[in-house]
Amino acid sequence: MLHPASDRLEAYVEDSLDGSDRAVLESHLVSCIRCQSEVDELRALFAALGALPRLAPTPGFADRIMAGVQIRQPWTLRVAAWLRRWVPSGTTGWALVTAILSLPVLGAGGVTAWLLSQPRFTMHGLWMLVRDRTADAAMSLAARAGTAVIESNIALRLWEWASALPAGFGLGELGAAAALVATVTAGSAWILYQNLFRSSTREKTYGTYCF
Amino acid sequence: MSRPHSCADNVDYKQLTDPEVIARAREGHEAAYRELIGRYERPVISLIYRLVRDRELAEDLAQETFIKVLNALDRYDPAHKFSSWIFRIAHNTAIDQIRKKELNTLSLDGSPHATTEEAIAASRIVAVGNDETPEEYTASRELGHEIEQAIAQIRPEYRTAILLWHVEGRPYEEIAEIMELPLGTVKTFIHRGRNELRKRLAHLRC
Repeated sequence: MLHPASDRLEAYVEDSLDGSDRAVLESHLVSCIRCQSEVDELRALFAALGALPRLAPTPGFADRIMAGVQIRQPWTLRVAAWLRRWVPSGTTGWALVTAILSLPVLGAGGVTAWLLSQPRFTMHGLWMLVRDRTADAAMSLAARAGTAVIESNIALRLWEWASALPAGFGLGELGAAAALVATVTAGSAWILYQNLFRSSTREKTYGTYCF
Repeated sequence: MSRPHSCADNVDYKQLTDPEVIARAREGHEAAYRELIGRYERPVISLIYRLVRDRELAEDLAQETFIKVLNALDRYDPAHKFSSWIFRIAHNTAIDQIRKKELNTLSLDGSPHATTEEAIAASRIVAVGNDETPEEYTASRELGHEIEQAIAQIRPEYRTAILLWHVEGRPYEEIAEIMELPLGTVKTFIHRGRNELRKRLAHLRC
């Protein structure tokens, strides 16, 4: 009698034979005590190996691992922690920061005083100069921003959206849209205020956010 | 070392897949790291123990494995299974130790390095039976002891392949990935390992 190879008997016990191969092997097993005995032996081995216990760790295993693991924090928390390092902790620190920040103001005041002491400069002339220069800079910035918006797809999309509005778009809808924009703006301003200026509650607030 | 994520983590980790837990860990949630440890501590310790045959050393090597893996989560490629990755590192760590210390010795009755009775008892492997009569428990414990002895005598490569297939239920393809071997080689290892075990357990045949 021709017996199947041992790896085929293993595949049978593993249940990895396809239907026809399985049927052929099963018909052989019916009439072959030797192969049936080998299959029984394999099944016993599989059962014994499958019943091997898994070892439990000793208490504190996870803690010992965590002591050696560096937990990666999200960039938002890392940036917040970095920024906190630069916030003064006491009165002296704040006084120093105030002094540093006031230096440009003092410098500008000094330059202004010096200019005003010159015979050809007057207070009105200086004001006109500053006003004109500021207005020029603001206009230039606005023109650049306008050009960028016009050249971008946003302007095109907005124009398409506005064109698609129904003819009956009345004051009621306009009011609702304005109320929505105002609510969103007020909400954003409140969140900004809570995070930037309420320094005594900032730590606590960070602690409740899940990034 | 940076502090763990401080916010309350109200996530039911048991419901998450490995990649989802890893994504949470990457966001800095310590609970996610602990979940990964909880999922794999027993399989990893068991695999390493059956390779090095020393309970205390197995736990040290498992600890080393977890620290390596958890500190490298940023480099984890979700295209591969996390289990394959951690088992590969566990297997390589244990094999390195065997090569270094030539630990391929049989010590089912406790660590060869243990010097006191307590240390020997603490390092001994214990098979726990469920819902068994005292006779059945003794019989299954003896059988478990015989099987552990037989496993300890086969080649470490055969051992890993056999344990991953039979104890951890990993498919051949994943075992090949873990052991970084061709699929055919893994199948051969498992086939030869089973044959060796059958020979070594032949005396138990009824």
